[in-house]
Amino acid sequence: MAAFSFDIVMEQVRNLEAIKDILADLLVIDCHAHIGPHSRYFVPNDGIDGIIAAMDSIGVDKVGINALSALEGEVVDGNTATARAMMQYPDRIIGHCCINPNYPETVESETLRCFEQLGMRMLKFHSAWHKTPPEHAHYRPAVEYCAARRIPLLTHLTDYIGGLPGYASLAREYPQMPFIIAHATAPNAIDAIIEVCAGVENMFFDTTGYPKYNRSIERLVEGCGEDRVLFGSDIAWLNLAHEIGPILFAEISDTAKEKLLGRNFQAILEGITP
Amino acid sequence: MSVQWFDACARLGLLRARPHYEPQGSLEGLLAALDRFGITEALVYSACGDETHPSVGNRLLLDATRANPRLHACVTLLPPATREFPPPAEHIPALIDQGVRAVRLTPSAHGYAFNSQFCGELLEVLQQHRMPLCINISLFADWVVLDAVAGDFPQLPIVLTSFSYGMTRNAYGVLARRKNIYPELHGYEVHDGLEDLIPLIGAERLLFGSGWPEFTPASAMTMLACARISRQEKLRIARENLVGLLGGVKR
Repeated sequence: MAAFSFDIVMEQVRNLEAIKDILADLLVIDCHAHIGPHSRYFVPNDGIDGIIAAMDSIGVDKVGINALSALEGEVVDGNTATARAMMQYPDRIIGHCCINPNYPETVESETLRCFEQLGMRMLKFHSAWHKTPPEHAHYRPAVEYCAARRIPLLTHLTDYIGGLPGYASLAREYPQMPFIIAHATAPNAIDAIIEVCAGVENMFFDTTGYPKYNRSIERLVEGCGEDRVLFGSDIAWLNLAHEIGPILFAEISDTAKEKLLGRNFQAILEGITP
Repeated sequence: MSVQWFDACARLGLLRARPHYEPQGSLEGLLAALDRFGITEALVYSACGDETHPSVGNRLLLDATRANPRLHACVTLLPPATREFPPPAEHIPALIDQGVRAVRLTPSAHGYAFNSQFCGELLEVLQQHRMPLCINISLFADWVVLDAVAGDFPQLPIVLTSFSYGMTRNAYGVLARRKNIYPELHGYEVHDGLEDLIPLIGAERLLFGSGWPEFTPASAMTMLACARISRQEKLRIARENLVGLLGGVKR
């Protein structure tokens, strides 16, 4: 099979043509997305049907997702909403199990419910909103459960520069577990991320939110390696095409683009043990 | 025949603090980016106009655009009270004679209030000439004042650069009410944003922009290419709407 060429994709975009038929030949998985709504601003069509429609219009096969409400106070209701979407589109959705350490009495029970009853395959922390670093003891029961099964953790950090050493220590403590840092293309964080990534092979980096910054994809791939960067979009918080465009046009190899768009994340999912 | 793109928001010149991205805003870097992305023309402003003084930035900008027909100058102005530029009734026709077809105000950089009271004399002359006025709405975030200015000067085309995804609850009402506001889209990364906004205000008021050099043109171009809107609407946004605005300037 001939290697996929992104030259055709870029030419389609320059000509204002759809790219879904071309990307259909490629595995594309978005590791970081949300089902709305949320308080901050209005987003149209933010339910799961609107998200799947956007994925279909671009050629995205699968999405790792959580209901935004699961990142707030009503974690149980939010995780249930995520599970409903998973049931609606079982072949397209990888559910995030969200944990809020400010309610430690729910951590263990939600971890068990999400992974053993609801079929989720990722752990998600929003340490910035929770104002609690991911290495905090209240998160620990969920981390230990997932580490034993190589289930990946996707997390925001409380502090994208000062918080990295603590997060790297947590990743070193559980070397079999994939630790994914969200929003790793943030321009003020890339240098610090590159500095810590060298020594921690089980840390991965998603592109969500900031690939629009010129050459941020190139810098992250150069600094951390093409095997450790994952495509994330933040849909429905953000626009899927706006987020994928910088990867399609990045000045990296076609092989690296294929890895970022899906192969790297697929390998992480295949590493999960029963 | 390939699509013609016209970028409504690109910057020339070096900032006082070196940013993380490359290239930094050089003329050579801009022309290379336009070539790589297939962008035919760009409306550009000067970084120096914000950080040093508009008179210095405008001189550098006009030197660059005169030498490069693909580039169109968006010169930075100031309110007339301090007489840093000639009176608007003289200055704006002189700029038009030099080929200028768009201007901008950056009240946050230059320390003045943007409203009809403080800027009315200038806005009146701009309106007489139908001169597009660019305002960075991410920096000037006062939608109440914007709403009032657009209402006070209904024939003045106001281009909202850096129109962003967090603004929907303010923007929808103002954009529906004020037909002379034209959002530029490089920061409008809203899921189904174009699909939802176009039925409300029409595609004829939306402008493609890149935000270069801080941002890659890839984001806004891919968003427009993949939007579930008609090809005719895409072509208008990619170029035709901005051509119409710049072509509408009256001497």
